Amino acid sequence: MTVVVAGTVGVLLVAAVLGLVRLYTARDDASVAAVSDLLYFCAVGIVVMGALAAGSSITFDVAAIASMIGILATIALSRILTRGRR
Amino acid sequence: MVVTVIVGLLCLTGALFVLVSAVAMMKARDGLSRINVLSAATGLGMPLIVAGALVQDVATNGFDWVDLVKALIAVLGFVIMSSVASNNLGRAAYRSGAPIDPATRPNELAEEPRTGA
Repeated sequence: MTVVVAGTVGVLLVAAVLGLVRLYTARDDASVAAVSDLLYFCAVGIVVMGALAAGSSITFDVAAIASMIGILATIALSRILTRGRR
Repeated sequence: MVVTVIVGLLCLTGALFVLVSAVAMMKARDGLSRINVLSAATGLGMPLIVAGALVQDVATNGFDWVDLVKALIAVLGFVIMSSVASNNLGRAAYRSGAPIDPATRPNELAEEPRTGA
């Protein structure tokens, strides 16, 4: 079981590092928002795998709330991009 | 043992889909296509990871309706909420003048709005 969790977290970390590299090379705002979303999903995946390894009872609460609330950053940045207009 | 294989298969495939999305973002040329390739991570990657967690949870502490509902909410959230946010972000990026690939088809935001058609 720990091999599964370690493998998944490892692959997610590689994806997160790739996202960070992309973040530093691409400066336009749309890419920043998209890559930050990718990093966010990597973090959610790592948290869910951590909860799975620890056998905690709130794994699915965390996943459900993370999927619902987490996208507000993207909506906020898209509103920033258009300087407040719709 | 079988459960570990199933959970491993689901979770690793989900993580690999997130990796596919990350690699696609490295190769994407402009902002809009970077927003577009995020769908692999949210449409398939995260739901598979949640499915793996669900299989493991059912195997260890037995079937529970509440966990199933929460997992379904999580999967629907990953698929629907992220698509809405990406769509919103793409429109905002285009309207705020982000450089886009000239070969973008169709580009209805660039055409005049059809009045009364």
